Amino acid sequence: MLEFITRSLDASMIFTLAALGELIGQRSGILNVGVEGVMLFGATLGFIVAQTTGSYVLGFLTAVLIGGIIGLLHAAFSVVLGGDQVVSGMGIWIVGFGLTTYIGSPYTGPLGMERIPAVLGVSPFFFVGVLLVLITWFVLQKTSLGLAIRSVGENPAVAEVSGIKVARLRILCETVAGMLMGLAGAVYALNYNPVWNYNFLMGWGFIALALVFFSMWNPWFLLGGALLFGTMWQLSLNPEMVLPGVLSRYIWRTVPFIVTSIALVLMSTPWFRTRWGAARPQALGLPYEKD
Amino acid sequence: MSESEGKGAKKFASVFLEEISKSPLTVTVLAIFTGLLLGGLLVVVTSEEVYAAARVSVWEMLRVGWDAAWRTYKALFIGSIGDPAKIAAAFQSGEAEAIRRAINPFFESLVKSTPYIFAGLAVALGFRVGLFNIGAEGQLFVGAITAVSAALYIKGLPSILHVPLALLAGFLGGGLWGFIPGWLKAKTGGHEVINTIMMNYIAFRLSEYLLRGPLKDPEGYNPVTAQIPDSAKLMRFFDNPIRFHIGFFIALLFAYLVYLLLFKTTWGFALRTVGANPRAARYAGMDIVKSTVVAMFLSGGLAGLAGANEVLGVNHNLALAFSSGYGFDAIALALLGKSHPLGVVLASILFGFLRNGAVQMQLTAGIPIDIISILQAAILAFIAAPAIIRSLYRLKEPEHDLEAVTLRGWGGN
Repeated sequence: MLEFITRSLDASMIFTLAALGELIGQRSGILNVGVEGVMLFGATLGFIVAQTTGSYVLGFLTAVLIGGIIGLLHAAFSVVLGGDQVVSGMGIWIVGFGLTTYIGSPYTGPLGMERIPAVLGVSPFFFVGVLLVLITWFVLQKTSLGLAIRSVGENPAVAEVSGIKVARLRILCETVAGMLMGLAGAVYALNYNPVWNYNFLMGWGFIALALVFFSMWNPWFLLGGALLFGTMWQLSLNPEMVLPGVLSRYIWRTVPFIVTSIALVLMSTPWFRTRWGAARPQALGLPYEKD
Repeated sequence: MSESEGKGAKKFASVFLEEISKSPLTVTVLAIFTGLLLGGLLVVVTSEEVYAAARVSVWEMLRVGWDAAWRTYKALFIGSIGDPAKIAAAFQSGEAEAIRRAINPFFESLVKSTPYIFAGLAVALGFRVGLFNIGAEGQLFVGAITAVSAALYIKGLPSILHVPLALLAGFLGGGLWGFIPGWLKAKTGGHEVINTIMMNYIAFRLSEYLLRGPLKDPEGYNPVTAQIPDSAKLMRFFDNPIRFHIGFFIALLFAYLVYLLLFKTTWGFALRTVGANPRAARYAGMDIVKSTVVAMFLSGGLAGLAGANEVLGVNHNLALAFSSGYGFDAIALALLGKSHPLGVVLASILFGFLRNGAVQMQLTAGIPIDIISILQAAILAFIAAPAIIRSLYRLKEPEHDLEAVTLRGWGGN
């Protein structure tokens, strides 16, 4: 049972890191539906670098770096070229899938390194995740930078008039977002499940994307949602922990996806929207051109 | 571009150049070209011989790099069309089997194109109604499951009834899988991008469960269904090894039907209006809820047919990994084809040839097949951001852009 709890916490932190990145980007008005693609890049390159150099630190740095680069490219595409962000995000996913499979398949197999030691019984990423949630919340809600980010996401034209560099701020936020997604991917491939396989992420990035919507763009709600989903995911992998012998384990594995759909649908109903809809960054996904 | 016809022959060349520069088709063609170029570059960059040659001299590196790229694309060409020398030799020898073997690559490419046409039409239909159906892959799986069930468990029918019935089952299965997110979108606003992806994963796990349990061939050990009876197989035109079957023509028929529906009926006009301008559509009294649900049902049904086509026409059974991502490639196809049925058919045939050629390329040039995904993604990116291609080739801006995809309603409006 203890192992189940620590595994759930580990899984939750991967959702937390990826979704936190997406939250920061969306707060500034940029939508990236390619979270899964960025995570795949971070996971695969982090895995390869860690394995070849034998250094976890280099692996994680590579993942953060590549995530940042992709975030920067997505931001440049959306902000400078005014492209369709959904299409660009899908492109990141498709490219990520193809390219990481291309690069990663020779490395198929376990990482073969000593596991990252636990701190106080849980993986160190638990503390990293919670700390990042705290920092994100603080910066977004309590600092002038956070105010600027939020205003850029709500109404870029007004923000520009009040002296905020919209394009620069959006690019910065989306780059940070990409770095967190890359880190999330590396935490998966280097800590949670240190084996490289074809399509090993299986939709984690998309669940993280949905989590941002459930969270109402609030980092603390996001942490709560991620803990819930992490536990649910772990449960769907080991249903015998709770309900031994009931239903096939393949049916159990659909549960996180069904729950995501149901939660998304509930969040989208008018009842919820009238109460919470104001939380959505009004300029989310819309290209902005300076007059 | 017929407007240019009246401008006189004097400036013909310059007008022609300008028209080409403005035509959206030019961007598409250049996007494909640039994608292929990038693919070649990637082959060079990831080739170890090139690095070895770089230690000798820069010139040697360029030569080896060019050689690697040339070999790759030659293998891709021969793999998708056939080896001209072999075809000529086979026809001279006059042996039927040798001829079939020599021309097989060409027909195999058409076989590969067929599911692309169905799935591409599915995504394109969604785009036209303003819906981003990323669930084609899941709908394809469910369509394959229902089609193979109809083929296996309905017995004693003649082929003329059994085949359409199995296809219908595939259509309905995929349609159901598209209907659910469509209905959720229309009734509650739950965004179809996330919901169709969730439906994908549910479909994958469901097929895993069914293939290891109820649908598994009782005599086999692997997660594969039994072979379907002959009465449910789509007709093939040639003997082995050519697998070319009637599904290709059914796909063309459906492309024509989608064209008629979208562009020749008032109902299709309403669907497109909902996609292009939902506010105007609501003003004109068009039923947006119904359009969304019906469009997602039809879209899912078309994707389901792609799965049914593979099961009834090519594999004759259903295995776990029977789809190599047709549903995901379909997104690129619909974008490449500008969401027009004819464009989708052409793009599908291109992708079919690329995919089939890639198998040969992997065998002879040792280039992993996944490079095709990268090629596709690059093409997709250029199509999505025509600005990149325009600035790269100094093209003029068109008067009005024909972008079919919009961000309408993300997060609920």
